[in-house]
Amino acid sequence: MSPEPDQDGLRLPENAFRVLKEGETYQPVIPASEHPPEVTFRSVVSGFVWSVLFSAAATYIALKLGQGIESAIPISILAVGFSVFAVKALNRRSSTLLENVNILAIGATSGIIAGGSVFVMPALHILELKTGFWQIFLVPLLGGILGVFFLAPFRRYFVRDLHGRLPFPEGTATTEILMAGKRGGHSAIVLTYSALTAAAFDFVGPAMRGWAENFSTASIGALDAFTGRFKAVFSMNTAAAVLGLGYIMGLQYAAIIMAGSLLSFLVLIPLFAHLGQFIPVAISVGAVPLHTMGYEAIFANYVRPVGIGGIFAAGIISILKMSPVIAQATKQAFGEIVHLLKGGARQMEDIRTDRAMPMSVNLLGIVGVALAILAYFRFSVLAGEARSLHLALAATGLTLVITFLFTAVSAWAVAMISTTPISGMTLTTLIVTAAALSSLGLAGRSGMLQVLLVGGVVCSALSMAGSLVTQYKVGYWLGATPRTIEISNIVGSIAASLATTAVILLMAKVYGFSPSALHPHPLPAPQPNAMAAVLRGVFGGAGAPWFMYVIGAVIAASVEMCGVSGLAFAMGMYLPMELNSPLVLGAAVAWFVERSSKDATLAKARHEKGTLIASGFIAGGALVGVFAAFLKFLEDSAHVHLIPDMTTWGGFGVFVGAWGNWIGLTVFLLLAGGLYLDACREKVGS
Amino acid sequence: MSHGSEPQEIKGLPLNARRPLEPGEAYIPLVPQDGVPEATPRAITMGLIFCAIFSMAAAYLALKLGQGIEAAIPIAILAVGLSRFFPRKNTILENVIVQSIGANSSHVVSGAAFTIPALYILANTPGSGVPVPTLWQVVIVSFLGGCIGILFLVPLRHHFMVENHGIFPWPEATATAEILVTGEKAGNQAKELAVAACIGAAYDGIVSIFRGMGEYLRLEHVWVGHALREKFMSFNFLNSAATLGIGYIIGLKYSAVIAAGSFFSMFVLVPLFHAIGQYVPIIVAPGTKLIASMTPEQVFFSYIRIVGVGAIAGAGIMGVAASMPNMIRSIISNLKALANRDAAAEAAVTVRTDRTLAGSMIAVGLVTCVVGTLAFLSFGLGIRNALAPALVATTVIMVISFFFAPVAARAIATIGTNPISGMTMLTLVITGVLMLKLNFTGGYGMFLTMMVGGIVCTALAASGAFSTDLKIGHWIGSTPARQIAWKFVGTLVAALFTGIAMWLMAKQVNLDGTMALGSSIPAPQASAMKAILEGIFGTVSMPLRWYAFGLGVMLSIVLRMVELPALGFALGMYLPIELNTPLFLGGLLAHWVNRPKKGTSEEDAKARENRGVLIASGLMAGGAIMGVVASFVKLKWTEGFPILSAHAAEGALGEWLGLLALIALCLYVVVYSRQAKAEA
Repeated sequence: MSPEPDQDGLRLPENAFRVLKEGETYQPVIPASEHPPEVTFRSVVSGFVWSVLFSAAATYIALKLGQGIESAIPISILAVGFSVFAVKALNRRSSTLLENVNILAIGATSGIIAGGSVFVMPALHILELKTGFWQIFLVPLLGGILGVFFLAPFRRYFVRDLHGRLPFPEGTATTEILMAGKRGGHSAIVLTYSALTAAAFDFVGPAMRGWAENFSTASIGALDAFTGRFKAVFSMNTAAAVLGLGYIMGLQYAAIIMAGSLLSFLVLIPLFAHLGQFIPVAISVGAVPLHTMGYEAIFANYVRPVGIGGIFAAGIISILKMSPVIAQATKQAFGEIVHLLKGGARQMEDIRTDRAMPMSVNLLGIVGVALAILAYFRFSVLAGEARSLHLALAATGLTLVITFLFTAVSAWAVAMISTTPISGMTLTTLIVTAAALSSLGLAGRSGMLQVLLVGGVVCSALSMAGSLVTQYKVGYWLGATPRTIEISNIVGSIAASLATTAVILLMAKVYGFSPSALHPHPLPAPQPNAMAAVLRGVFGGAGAPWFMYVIGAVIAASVEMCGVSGLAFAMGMYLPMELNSPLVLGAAVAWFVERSSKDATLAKARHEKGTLIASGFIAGGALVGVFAAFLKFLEDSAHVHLIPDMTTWGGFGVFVGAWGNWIGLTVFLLLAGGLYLDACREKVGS
Repeated sequence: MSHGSEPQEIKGLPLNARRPLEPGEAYIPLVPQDGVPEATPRAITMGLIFCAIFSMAAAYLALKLGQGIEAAIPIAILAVGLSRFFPRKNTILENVIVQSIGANSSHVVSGAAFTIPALYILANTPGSGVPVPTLWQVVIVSFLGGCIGILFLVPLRHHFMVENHGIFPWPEATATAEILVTGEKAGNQAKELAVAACIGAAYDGIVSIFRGMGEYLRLEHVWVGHALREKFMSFNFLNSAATLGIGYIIGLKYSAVIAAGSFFSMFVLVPLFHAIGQYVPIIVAPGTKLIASMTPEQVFFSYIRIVGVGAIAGAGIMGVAASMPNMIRSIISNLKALANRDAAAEAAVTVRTDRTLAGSMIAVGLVTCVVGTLAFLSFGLGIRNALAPALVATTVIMVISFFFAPVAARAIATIGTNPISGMTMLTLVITGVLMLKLNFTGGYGMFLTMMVGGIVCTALAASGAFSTDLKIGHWIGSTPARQIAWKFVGTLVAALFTGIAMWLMAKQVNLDGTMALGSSIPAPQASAMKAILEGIFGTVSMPLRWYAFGLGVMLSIVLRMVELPALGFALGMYLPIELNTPLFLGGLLAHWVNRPKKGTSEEDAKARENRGVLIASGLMAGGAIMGVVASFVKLKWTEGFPILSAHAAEGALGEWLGLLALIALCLYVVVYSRQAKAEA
């Protein structure tokens, strides 16, 4: 049992969140010269346990509710809790910060693999294609590993070169949790009570139906005529977790995202709605006439594809912007290989916190995975096809190119706004791949299978990239060894893939994913069904909304021309407005907190307190999300009533039901005001 | 400190002329000393003569071609050039005065040309009930508008010139000041400028007079334009050295925003509108045919442009809101000056280059304008019992001018283009609705509303143009008080000659005896205003117009949120794409010229930048002069002296020739500018 160092002064350096000055370097919490335990028996075991548990949970919830669950934050809380448990109950030493990062790295693969796998793989069942354990196990695994290899060369770019420029909201929250857990005392208390507040808030609201989950002008009776005529609707989700995300994100990005949303909901949808009133018949893209559609239907059918096109174009633009970094990384990789081939000794980087997989290993890894994918496509998927090598080569090429493109997009999106449009990008992948492969003559069932598998690889890879970039940043702030993070993710992926595959196969056998004679009441699995529908459409001859994609691409390019992040704007256009508007509210609170005092030190201290509270909100919201999902699972499987429904509470319930919209807005604004007031209570020197 | 006024002492503009000042640093103009001849009889006479000539010419061109001409630059060149023939050359301050008086022509004309012809056309329409405006009415409208615009800008001089020194790019003022300064300076710069001006003039002459290459490059015969057009996206590029030069001076940042606005209109909204609209089985006003059978340009002009107008209006209002604190500050300081005569007396003792109109004088002037406007609108229009509408109209004029004068000045400061037509439309709408509420309908209602539009339009144009004058004066070292005083005289002369030109134009008849105005003299902007006026007062219901307008306002909020210069983007949306693409190309050229070059010093970089701006100014000036010449030539020979047939110029041959010439022009700008080295 090692002596505990004094932890009271443990906090992130002052320059952790701002752009560094010329010649300044960022010194992590654990400097490179120290070598505390990082990969230990306890970190590996608990990492794997969480990985398996969360994989199973995430898979089930995604199939049932169509929502991915947050795994990084609950796991970091559990890691901190385990450390306290180890000290108090087992009389062992507490876990080091870096051990906790390691637990996070292994455990978080659960969310990654589940997120990548469940959106696509069940579609195999829905389309009644040949499936098997290996199919479902290998694809997410290969994708995850590919994601690690593709992102690794850009670690320094995202994490070090852009230090202070990208907000990393989720990474910030995770880091604050790990730090507060280590530090204990005041900040742990702040974190705990804010997490509890958020948990209670998010449980009473959406789960117990204490108020409307989304405030919407469409629910206001007085505005019915307006809504019906213009179909311009403002809506706002009332979840504490999103408010916290917005606070950490900051006003700059939140405003861009919101602007994209406003363009979608208050300009484009009304434009369609207005023109639509003159059109008596249905036009091709939507199945019903425009004037009978609600604003949500117009959004889904017409405006959302514009957003997808925008994301795609912005992704390409971001790759172009990164091209010097890409060229440099490639050069370095080849340089190392040449150096090794010439028999030179491997150059060891001497700084622990910058020690990553050598570029040469990285490159070999990509080649290896590519060969594995090629072999798998050629000899398993396309075995019976004519010109199978051609097709397999094309499919592999497409996989690599699209994966490369989308890993960058995903990393950018997560670094900016902590959300990555996985289903949108996967959909794009399916459409592009299907168009490309069918032009090469691939059709029918094996075509669908091939396209889906490409989609599965891409989906897992971009899910991995988004999560890994956060882990890199957390590691950078705290001083973890990048190589350890990389290896942990690769190894963790295996466990996560196993668990995910097991659950999917089990669910397919027990419940099924689409109605059939055997399974009349299947799990809804909304995303896989959407993917399957798209695939049926594309292979059935119905075209993709190419026109809308092009329009979206032009918008992204125009926005980028003005010097505004096209990716954030396009994401805003793609995401529903209710998720974007609370971000602006949270960001506005942060803006006011930062300007609440003329004294710069005091304002900064207040902002830090606010960041801590916001992290608590995110943590509480994430935990209660998992908890509520678990309760719903129990309710469904045991057919009992566990979560009280407030709208059934007699007269009070009627009141709540009728005024839920306004109650939601009021309490949400109160919560934001509370965040501001509490942050402003902070004094200097406390 | 005596610098002396020998020519060899006068260098280019000081180094800190175009960058923000450090704390404690002061900008010392080119001519800081007192006693240099400034408002001499010679300068004033020259200025007034130029003003008269250019007013007539510009008025004719604005009606005939729908394009305002850039008077400031040609006049500056003429002032510098003619002064060589006098025994004593003009001082640079005299040239500033000449330019300042003469440039009145362009804004008075644009104010009048957007509105007055509509009255003549309406008066000639049977049953409209609109009386024929007399010459004096037209002159008074222009003069009142000009004075109001100047008076509202004067209090903001300190804010725009001194507080925001080096913040705005001032494209037009840059070009004009460059000419005035290099005219004084010995050496190569004048030659470089002259060569660039000749090239610009030759280039635009070949395009417009001799039709030696395509004027509009649609890239139809290169893959790009064709591919875009299949997607209902229309690409167009005005092949003009002058526009390219303006884009260069605006710089990449602003021109990219403008171009982005244009792309958003032409490549997003137009195709989207068409994609849905083609299924509409009826004709939707304000369009005149089925959307399915429209070209992209028709969709743009019928519908999307209105969205742009809405965005301009929204951006304008938000711009006003953003500059509110400054405006309030300047109003307060004015009131203080008014209350405290001693302070006003003290102000007179300040440095010459900071001496301006006293707050009390502005107040007196404004009161005079209010009374004058009220008197004119109630008794000068020949309408009985017009006092109540005239009161409302005067209020509207004052409120809108007050709010939008700084907006116009800011637009000129940032992109050199003044969105007056959008703001005038807004004025017409507001006034018209108010008149209807007062039950003041019919011909006289339209007449009064259009008069209000004319005054506001002139006022806004005057504010914008005057801010350019003040900036030039600030750079070079003029006395603001003298500039302001002579500006009023210039406005009167310009108003007189513009009025005469309009009146003459309205007298013109076609061969068959019908009125030429509105047919062979199309007056496009005024026709648009007329349409709006008829929309308000007539019975034509156009829900889509208001709808699109609202969408535009919404869009401007979106732009504001992402901290874009919303006005620039909105202008880009409103202007046809062929004007915006050369601007963008010009901005790109500026970016390439200013890229760092290995192995050269910082002074060399500065020299490259200077030469680039000089060449761009030359292209702009040469192109503008050739525009005037071409219009005069086309008065007599409508077709010019075409080398290519109209068909060939628009076809593959013209396009390829135009593209090659354009590439050569760009290479000239970039390569030549990048060769510049600092003088040893």
